[in-house]
Amino acid sequence: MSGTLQNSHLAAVAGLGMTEMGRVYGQTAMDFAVQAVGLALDDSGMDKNDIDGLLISGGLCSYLNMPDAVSMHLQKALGLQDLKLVNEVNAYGATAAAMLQLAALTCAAGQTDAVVCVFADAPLQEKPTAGYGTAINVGTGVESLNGASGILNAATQFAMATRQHMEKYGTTSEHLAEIAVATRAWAAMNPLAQKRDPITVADHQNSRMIADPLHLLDCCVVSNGGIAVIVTSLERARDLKQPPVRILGWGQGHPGEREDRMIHTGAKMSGQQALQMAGTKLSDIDIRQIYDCFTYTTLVTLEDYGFCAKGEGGEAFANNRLGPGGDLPTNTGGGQLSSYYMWGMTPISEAVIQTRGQAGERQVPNHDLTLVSGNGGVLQYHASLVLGADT
Amino acid sequence: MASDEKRPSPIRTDGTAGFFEAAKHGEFSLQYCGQCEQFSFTGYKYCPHCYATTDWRPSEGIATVKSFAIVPESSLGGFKELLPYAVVNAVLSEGPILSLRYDGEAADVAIGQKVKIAFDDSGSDETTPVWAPL
Repeated sequence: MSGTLQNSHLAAVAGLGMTEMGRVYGQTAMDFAVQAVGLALDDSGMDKNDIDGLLISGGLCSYLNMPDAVSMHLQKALGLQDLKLVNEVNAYGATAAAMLQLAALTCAAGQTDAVVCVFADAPLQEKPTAGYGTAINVGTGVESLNGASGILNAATQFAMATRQHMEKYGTTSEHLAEIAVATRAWAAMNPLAQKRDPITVADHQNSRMIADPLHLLDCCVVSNGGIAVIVTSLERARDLKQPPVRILGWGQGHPGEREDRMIHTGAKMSGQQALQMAGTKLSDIDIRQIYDCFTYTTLVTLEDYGFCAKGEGGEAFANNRLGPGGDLPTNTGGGQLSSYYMWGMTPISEAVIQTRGQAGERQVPNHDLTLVSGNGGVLQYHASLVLGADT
Repeated sequence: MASDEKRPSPIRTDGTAGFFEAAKHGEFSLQYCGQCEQFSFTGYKYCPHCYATTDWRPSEGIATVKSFAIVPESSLGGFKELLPYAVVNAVLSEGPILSLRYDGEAADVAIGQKVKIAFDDSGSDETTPVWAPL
């Protein structure tokens, strides 16, 4: 295979560790990270001494330089020595998928035996001095014009992206509501979800405006917590406790500041690469786990992956097509919109659970192939994974 | 009534000192590259097209609205007296794209509308560019 390491598809997820997530106080991001790694080891049946690689990703705490954000100190906190791979990885929301790619590559190449990929964050404070919506990283130079202009959060930026799509393609707020409703219907069946009460299109329309055209119910939840994923070779994974979840394909696509990136995202480029590497096609995908910081992100990502004609996502994904019983099951754990906001680890964790067949009440009957997205910044960065059962 | 709380101030850097100094005198400027003759607005000294050194060059600051959002409430002081306000993403006639607060009635903004740079020095330590109706 030209341009591809020959056995690069021969890696698998062998362990998944998820801490309590949501309004969980009294733990720092570093605390959550250590807990998550311990849980992932238990889940996999591996020993701490089996780990020889560590990939680290912090969330808002790292971005805002908050105390005890996850950092390179995590190796010390985990008591890991003489590792063959340690990196802090950052492509914002695309980081988690990028970490799994790097882990898969080094494990399949025999450079590492088992790499643990960790995300942890604790932006919510019991007595807030600065909440998620108001704690802004003001930046410097040109970047600092955002805060000075009253662009104080991601919602305001994504509102501008959403309006571009609405203007060009006729997408409506009710279309976005359909996505929120379908995602919440999945969350209702997920014991880990922060928001489990069913909602209607009317609830969405009546929810307060955060940044017009985005309502509250277009926006993700915020969570404290941590998730760790252990990647090893497929061969090794087959001897462990859990059914292997194969990492079959991956790709990245980073538009940067390309002028039309708000409505033509990196999902197209990264998705095509991931499907090609996996030797599969869109119509073979059973489940979609999409980075859904906002309802619009689900819509534009599915469009750019090619699940409908460009611009037609509003109509195409309405009527519960993405929800339980729909023909395009998407964000089956309730996503970031309703369940938990662990950045790119949200879609990856649910993909692992579904692929193993461990999703209980919300288990999708066909779960051999899942397409996972990670979306970073304000649509500047994108990474995709094709995960599959070891059939 | 003016709020006691200030809006977040832009922070001058080596690469943007020329911009903010000109802004203080009511002049809007963009980076210009004499080598490839293109405008940019990265805030870093080298041209993103050819990596030659750029200079700040005056611009009329006329742009077309690509998109906008309306902020109905804000927990940050300094913006409360402006609520609801619009933020506008607009493409300058020279090419660069810039998102700034709209200094006008939020309800009047429309995609495709022409806007022009104005300056606001009421809210923070530095003079901040805003979009104004043309």
